[in-house]
Amino acid sequence: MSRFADELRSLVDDLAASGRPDLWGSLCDLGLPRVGIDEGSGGSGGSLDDLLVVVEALAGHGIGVPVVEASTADWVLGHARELDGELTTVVLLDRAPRTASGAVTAELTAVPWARDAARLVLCAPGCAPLLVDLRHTSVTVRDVDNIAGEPRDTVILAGTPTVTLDGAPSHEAVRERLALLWSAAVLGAARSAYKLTKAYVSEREQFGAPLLKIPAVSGNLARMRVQLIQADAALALAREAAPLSGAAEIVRITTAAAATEIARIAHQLHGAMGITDEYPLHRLTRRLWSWRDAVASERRWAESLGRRAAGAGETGVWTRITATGR
Amino acid sequence: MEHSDHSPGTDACAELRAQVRELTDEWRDAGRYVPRSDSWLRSFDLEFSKELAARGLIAMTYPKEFGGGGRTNVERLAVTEELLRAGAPVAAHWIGDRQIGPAVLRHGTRELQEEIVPKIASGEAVFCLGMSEPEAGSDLASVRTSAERVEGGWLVNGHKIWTTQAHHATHAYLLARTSREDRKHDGLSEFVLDMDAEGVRVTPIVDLAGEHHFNEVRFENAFVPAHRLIGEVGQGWKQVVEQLSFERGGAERSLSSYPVLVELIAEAARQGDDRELHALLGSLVARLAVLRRLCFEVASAMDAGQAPVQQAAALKYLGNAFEHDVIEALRRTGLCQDPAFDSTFGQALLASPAFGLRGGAAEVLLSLIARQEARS
Repeated sequence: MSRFADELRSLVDDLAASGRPDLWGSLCDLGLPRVGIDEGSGGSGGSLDDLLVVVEALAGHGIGVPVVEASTADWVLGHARELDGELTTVVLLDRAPRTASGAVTAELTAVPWARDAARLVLCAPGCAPLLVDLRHTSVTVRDVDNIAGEPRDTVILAGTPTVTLDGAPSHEAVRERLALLWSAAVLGAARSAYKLTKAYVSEREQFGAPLLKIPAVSGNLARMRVQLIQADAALALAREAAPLSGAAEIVRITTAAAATEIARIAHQLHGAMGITDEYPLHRLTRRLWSWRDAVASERRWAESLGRRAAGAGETGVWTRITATGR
Repeated sequence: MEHSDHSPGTDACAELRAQVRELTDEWRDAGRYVPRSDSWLRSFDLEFSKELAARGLIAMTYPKEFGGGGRTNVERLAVTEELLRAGAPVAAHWIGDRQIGPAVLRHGTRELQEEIVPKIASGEAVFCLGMSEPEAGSDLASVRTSAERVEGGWLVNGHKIWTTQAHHATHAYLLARTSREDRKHDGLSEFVLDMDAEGVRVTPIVDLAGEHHFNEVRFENAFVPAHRLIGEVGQGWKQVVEQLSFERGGAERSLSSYPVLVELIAEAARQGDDRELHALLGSLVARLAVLRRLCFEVASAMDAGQAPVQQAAALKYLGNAFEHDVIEALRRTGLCQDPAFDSTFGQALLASPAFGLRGGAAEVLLSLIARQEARS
């Protein structure tokens, strides 16, 4: 874990508690979304581990800000040019977009925060990332929200000029970074949903005793705890597992499964209280439902890992799994 | 990304893995064993255990003065993982190595340590666990078997059940009541007993696979010498709870049906374009990788002198579910149609009801985790 973990976490906690209207602006003023990017290219320095702490802490407050997208886009961009104050977002494509003399024509769905962003980084396998100016006249943005109420817009590019970001990280590297960051976000929200639920069943009384005294309730709380232990281990594995191919899949599949189980049990244990707009649980569970399948669905990660495993054979699978954490 | 540091154990673990692979390959290729599910309970070969002992691959974490290897729990994990992966015949030493040696080293007198520990380390002593009783089920504290103090030792009377490998065992670990107390957790004590002592009678219990691994063991005035008491009289409950927490967090809680996963991987390779099967396999591999990581974390915590009770319970809970789901996954393929009795699938399925029972049923583990949560 990061040396600055506690410091970063309390910084985020203080900001979240301050109730500032422009939280994102405050985060940017402090340089938090640019943690994990070299100071030389306009970042805040620190490691990816530090950034994971920031993402997990923000997610734990149920706050919807473009920290994963902007930090990843800036990380890509920072390899090619110095960063400025504009918001850049990122999308991963399955295949390279259609280009004609550097101009792109495409309809992109679920582009995070496109309506707010100035620029977009397109990452596709087998080619260098492309930079798009979202304010160009050839660009149309249609507002679409995900189930957490966060912008996942449709972006229509009609012969939009692009800039090739030479020297920027590969599609695979961006995919792995996004997998880690989204996993940290899911873990943060899942941990908070667990804490909220534990507090609720400890305080709320029925039949003259706290709900927690009912064995089925405490058993379900334990199931949530087990899921957190599993998700924590998966993130630790992926953080340390540079040579382990498939780590991105492993951490995404594990945290997605934990998100599913934890959201389900949290609502079950909260009873009707959990489905009101007023009570904070939904801020966490709606994000768990969105984020568990962000960028690529759990099913696609699983297929990809399974295909890889079938190709590697038992010896390959075993050797990789036991290569980390000795 | 920050890379993990290369601790001194890294190379040693790789070397140990290679050593185990060489040995299991050799034995398997010579037809000296057939890999099978649940080998740590069902595959008994004293000769293989002695071979492992000769190579320093059991009693690895015990002090060298008692014939142990003086190695870390992480190094031991590397060896147990490879043995389970190979489905090797390890039942003769597994219980003694994992549980009884460490218990005697923690609580036994010097005399008991000198008598018992080297025998476990050399593969001479084969242990069975006398914990469960017909009326007690998962409630160990309901133990009725009694040990009554007599001149020079204790006289044991009672009845144990589900005693794995008692028919092969040279020694039994025994949990017995040494006094009647108001709280049933009080008044229990732990002993080491000779299986060839007078008054010890073993009768087989054949399981649903038609195999004989379990037994009932009856004690009628069986004598246990005084020095065979482990730890303090009346402190058995505290000691056994600690012992169980060490028992739970090993690789055998995830790998009991590993030969089935091997077939599943091969089948997924044959069915090159089956996306459903790939997705199923992918989620299982992800779970295995995380379980493996948890095993490593538990072993590391033990090396750091901690007793990771909650993590070990979570690991066993998740691991047992995984062992079942692997078998269920193979059912989705054509390989399970009219499965042969001794096929990989058949063997694993018939062994599977025990996975979630031994060492604590799922609901018991959840209540243990919940109790810890309520306190935190």
